[in-house]
Amino acid sequence: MAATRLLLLCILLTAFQAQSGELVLSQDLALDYAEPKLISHSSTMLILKYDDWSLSHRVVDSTAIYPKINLSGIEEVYLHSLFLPARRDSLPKWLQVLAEEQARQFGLPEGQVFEETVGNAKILGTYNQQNEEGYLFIFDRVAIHQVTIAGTEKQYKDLIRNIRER
Amino acid sequence: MDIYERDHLQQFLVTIFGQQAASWFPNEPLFNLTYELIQESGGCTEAMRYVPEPLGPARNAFRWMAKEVRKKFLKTIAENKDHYAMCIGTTAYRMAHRFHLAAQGV
Repeated sequence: MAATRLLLLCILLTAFQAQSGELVLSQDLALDYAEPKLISHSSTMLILKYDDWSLSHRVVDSTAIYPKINLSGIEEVYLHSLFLPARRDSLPKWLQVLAEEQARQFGLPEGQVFEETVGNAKILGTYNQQNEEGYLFIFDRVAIHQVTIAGTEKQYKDLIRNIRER
Repeated sequence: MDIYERDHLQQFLVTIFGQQAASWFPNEPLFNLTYELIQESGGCTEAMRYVPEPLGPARNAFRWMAKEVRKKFLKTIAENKDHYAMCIGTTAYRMAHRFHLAAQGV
């Protein structure tokens, strides 16, 4: 009995330590994250660095996804189409080819597509086993967030689980 | 890296990642990532002809490459940056996270 209580206490403490911060993504969404070793902010990207993995967040700038290509107005369809090939039909041919190439870079179609809904936001992403990287796009009411992790698939799935409404 | 190599690397990075890269100090990790980026982009092989043999992913290209080879490699990617911008865009987008980490020294 005492051992069970001790085990339960340890689990609770671990869970408490693992959820040490709240990153507000928008008015509606937040990401719970474990305390990182360091936090760094470059001009457009927030980086949370841990001992053996890292996480980055940035808001998608449709003019800066690719050099010399402005995807303003079609960025949502384009980014959806990376994970959902049927959505490519509405894009011009050259963008279909580009989407196919980008999807291949992310490890698709071999990889699994993760599709979730959190409140009004849609989440789409995939984990690339070969590169040990996970890519995630969160389609919020007012912005598209891109989250990338360099880590394990478990850490990637935990990341998805830790996105919540606020 | 000397001042010319840094200039070539920075020109290339600004073309690929935009003005944000103008504030990145061209360091050794950024060179290694750039090498990896070019190496992984199958359609962009012009700069790779200066490299005597392929490097494995764990090799440190900056340390491994002879200085003259490195200079030619950087000069080539800087002079052909617009061509590279078109053919390595999708690889660069996938690797952006790692470039930011390297630029921040973390």
